[in-house]
Amino acid sequence: MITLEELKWLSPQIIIAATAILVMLGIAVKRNHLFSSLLTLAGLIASFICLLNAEPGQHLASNIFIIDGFGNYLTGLIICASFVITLFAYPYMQVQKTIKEEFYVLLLLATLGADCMVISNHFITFVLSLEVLSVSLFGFIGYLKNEKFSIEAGIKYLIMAAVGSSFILFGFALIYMATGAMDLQALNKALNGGDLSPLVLTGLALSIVGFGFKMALVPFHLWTPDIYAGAPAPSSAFVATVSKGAAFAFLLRLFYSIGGLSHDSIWIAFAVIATASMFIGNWLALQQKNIKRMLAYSSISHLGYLMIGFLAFSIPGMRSAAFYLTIYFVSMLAAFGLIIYLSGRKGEPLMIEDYRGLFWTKPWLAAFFSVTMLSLAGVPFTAGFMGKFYLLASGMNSGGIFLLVVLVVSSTIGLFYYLRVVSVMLSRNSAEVPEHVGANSWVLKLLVGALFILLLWFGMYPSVFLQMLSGF
Amino acid sequence: MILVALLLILMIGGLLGWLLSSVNKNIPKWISLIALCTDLVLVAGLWIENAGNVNLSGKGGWIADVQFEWIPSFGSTIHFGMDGISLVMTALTFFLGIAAVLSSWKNVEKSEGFYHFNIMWLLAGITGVFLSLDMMLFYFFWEIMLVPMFFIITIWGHENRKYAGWKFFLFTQIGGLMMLLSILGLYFLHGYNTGAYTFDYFQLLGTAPGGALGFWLMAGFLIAFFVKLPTIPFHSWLPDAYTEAPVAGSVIVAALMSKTAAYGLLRFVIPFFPEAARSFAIPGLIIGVAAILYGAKMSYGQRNYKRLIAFSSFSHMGFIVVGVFSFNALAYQGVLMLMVAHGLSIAALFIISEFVYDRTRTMDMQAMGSFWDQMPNLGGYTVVFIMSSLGLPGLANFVAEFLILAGAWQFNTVLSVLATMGLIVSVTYSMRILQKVFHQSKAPVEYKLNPMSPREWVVMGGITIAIVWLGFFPQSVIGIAQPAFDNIKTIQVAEKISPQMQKQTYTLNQVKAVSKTEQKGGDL
Repeated sequence: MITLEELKWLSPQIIIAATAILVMLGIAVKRNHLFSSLLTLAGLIASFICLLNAEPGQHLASNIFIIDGFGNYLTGLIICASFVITLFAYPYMQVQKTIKEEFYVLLLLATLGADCMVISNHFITFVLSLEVLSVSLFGFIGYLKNEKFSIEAGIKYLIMAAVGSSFILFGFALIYMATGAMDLQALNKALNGGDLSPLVLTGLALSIVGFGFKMALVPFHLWTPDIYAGAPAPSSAFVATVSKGAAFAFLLRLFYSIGGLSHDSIWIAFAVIATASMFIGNWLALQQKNIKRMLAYSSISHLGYLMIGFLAFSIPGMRSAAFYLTIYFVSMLAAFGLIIYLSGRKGEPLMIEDYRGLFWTKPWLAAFFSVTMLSLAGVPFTAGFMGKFYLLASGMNSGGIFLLVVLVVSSTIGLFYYLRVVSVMLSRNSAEVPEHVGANSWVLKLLVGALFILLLWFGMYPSVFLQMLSGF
Repeated sequence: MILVALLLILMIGGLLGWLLSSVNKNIPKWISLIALCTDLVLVAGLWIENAGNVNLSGKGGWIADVQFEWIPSFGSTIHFGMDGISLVMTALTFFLGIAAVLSSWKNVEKSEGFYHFNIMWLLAGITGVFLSLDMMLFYFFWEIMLVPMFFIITIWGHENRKYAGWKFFLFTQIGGLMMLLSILGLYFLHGYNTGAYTFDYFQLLGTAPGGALGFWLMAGFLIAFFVKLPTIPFHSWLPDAYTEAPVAGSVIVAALMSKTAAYGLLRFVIPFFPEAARSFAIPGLIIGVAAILYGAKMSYGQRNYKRLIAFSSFSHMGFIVVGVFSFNALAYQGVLMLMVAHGLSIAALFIISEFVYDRTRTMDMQAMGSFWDQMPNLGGYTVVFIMSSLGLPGLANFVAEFLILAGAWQFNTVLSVLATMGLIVSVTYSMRILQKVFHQSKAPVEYKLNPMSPREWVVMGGITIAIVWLGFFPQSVIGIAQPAFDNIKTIQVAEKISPQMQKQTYTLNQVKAVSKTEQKGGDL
């Protein structure tokens, strides 16, 4: 029986669900792009305010949701990311020749799914929220129905996500069969601190495959580049940030609460996946000429870095992972923000060549984009450096030196392609910059400026943000 | 506070120049010049104030020291300190910064604002390295140097600039990351031993154990410094970067950036890892001697003026390695002198290359000859700097190399004799410049060579005065840095007696074991 107090704990999620319905009803009454997007923003803000007023401490809502510092932090992060993506989406959708309002319904539903994933405490709630997220993403990715690549990406994601979900489901079923438990506390008790039977191990292994799909870790990454490149840029940004972050959150919850990482074979499996993601992600990104594909591979490597925080299997590790996730969100949103800024009626500037000489035609935008690239590369003065630094520190703390060396070496490979974008922007003969949505949207200009400041702020004085992580 | 001001003046100057460059493209260079002059005056003030005060014992050799909170959850603070060594190095940075700005006064082809922004931030990074006493802050500034330098080489460099820029960036970045791992290793070792997680220089002193762990921790620092210096076997980026960079870039990378590595060896490697460094002494000396001889040989074989100077610089950096691994006071004084003297002479030689390039648009020495007829003044200056570079008594480099060799002799006779051979070879390649460019038969192409402009006179004259002054009064540098050297010595002595040191020789596995038990409660 759910109590009123539990409803209060879940109010951020409830508000988002209600907003989704309101936006849908609004569309039924009268189609208005501006109204839909403003309503979405209002819902996200209200949900965020509820979150800020959340009581500290750890609460269980009927054993199916867990409300704690970690969950609240990630919920907040996801809401902020959705807020930014909504703002990005408005000028972007404005120039598309298609109906626009449903985009926000899908966005809200996907956000709802992600927000529920990070506070899930039970297999059922997790799988349900995962499906809410995935089903909205099918539409979200294939939204531009006049573009055949967008449709293709949507269908690809549909199949891949279905495969991933079924692996997770099957894995969970096996675990349930072995232990008879579905919520994390009962599971922890049933497993008695890490004595894993072959059946449980198989179940965990299958679920790792599913999580690997969702987070696009090597060798389950093959869908990523096509979907990033084919989907409309705001959707790509969402897939790159929110959906991966939410899957990561439950992965962390699951393996931390059942103590699975102290089991050597699981630790090694994750270490291999992390190493492969770092190397292969960076290596394939080197070969790309399309900037969205490059970002896709780069995000694979970033999730690999993130696994170092996960593998540290400690509170600092968890904090460093959450911190890195935040920085990854900001950097990725900034990168996609620029693509959206420069896209217009004729489409998005997809090729790296499209940015040739941007430093001489639009110096500020190019400076901003350079900082974003440097942040993704992890150069000091930018957010990425602090994130990697914290990851290295937490990894060093738990003695996984090998992974740290992999991080160092592979991020050096990564420097190549990030800097190549910068050096293309610096080359002396400039490409024409066609008409683009950013030119007459002050919202986009402000947002791009805000992300720029955030990237530098994180990079130079991260104390304020680190303070927020002390709650878990 | 003055230390923070030194950095802020550079950083804000760079930003301001970039912002105002849209108003008038001549503004950035004036802002840079004024900012650097202000900094130089500030440092000169500190120098004069403390010059007579040879015994700064009350403050442990530290002239200025400031500390602010930065990232408390990491145990990292903004901690700047200045002792004699940093004072001398920052003064050199600002002096040569002015020379670099003046030497590229006219030939920045594109986007002067961004160019000067990069120069100023590069100099700020170098200054920050000389002043930081917090390892995280130090790493921060160490890495800040990279990106502006990469831009300077790849945007404003010569024909092969992209290749050179990339190579430079990759080498130095990998080196830097290795050092980061070592810094973190030290940080956690200190954390496990004492329970206090901090990046503070003074607290980390005496943390590193001997044995294998100490050696590997030192190796991270050594790789970073050997790459930046550069010395064998990490030098392959040097000829490209030095040659393809525009003149200000060459001056800064050869005269200043390489000194940050030399400074790092003195400030961090020796005090942090006294035992490990001592165990590396003979390999270190061999690397140094090999660099001296190999660099000299390579230098002699070059046709390109800038490449020749680049290899000569590489050869001289070998002396610094020899000095550092000789472990005695004489050699350390020599290292500091060489940092200053080599900085001045190599900067001057690169600037001369630019003056020649300005008039002839070539660096190929086969296409030059008999320039003395038209430019006797520049020829005269070249003689001074070449003589200084090859170690003529009375000029700065002689004092430095003499001190290093005298120090090395006490430590290892055979290797110091071999190092001395480098001096002989350096005469041959240095004289070759003079011969090929200023004498010899007429150049194959007829050039119209303008006489030196007042700006060129100022640059050349300023550096000449400094080199002659240091040749006759080396004490003015050594004296102010003496308390700092005493510090290095006392640190080493103290560690030798400390019984704690013998007990706490952790092996890597023990550290892992400690970390496993403490992983839940780490203080991050």
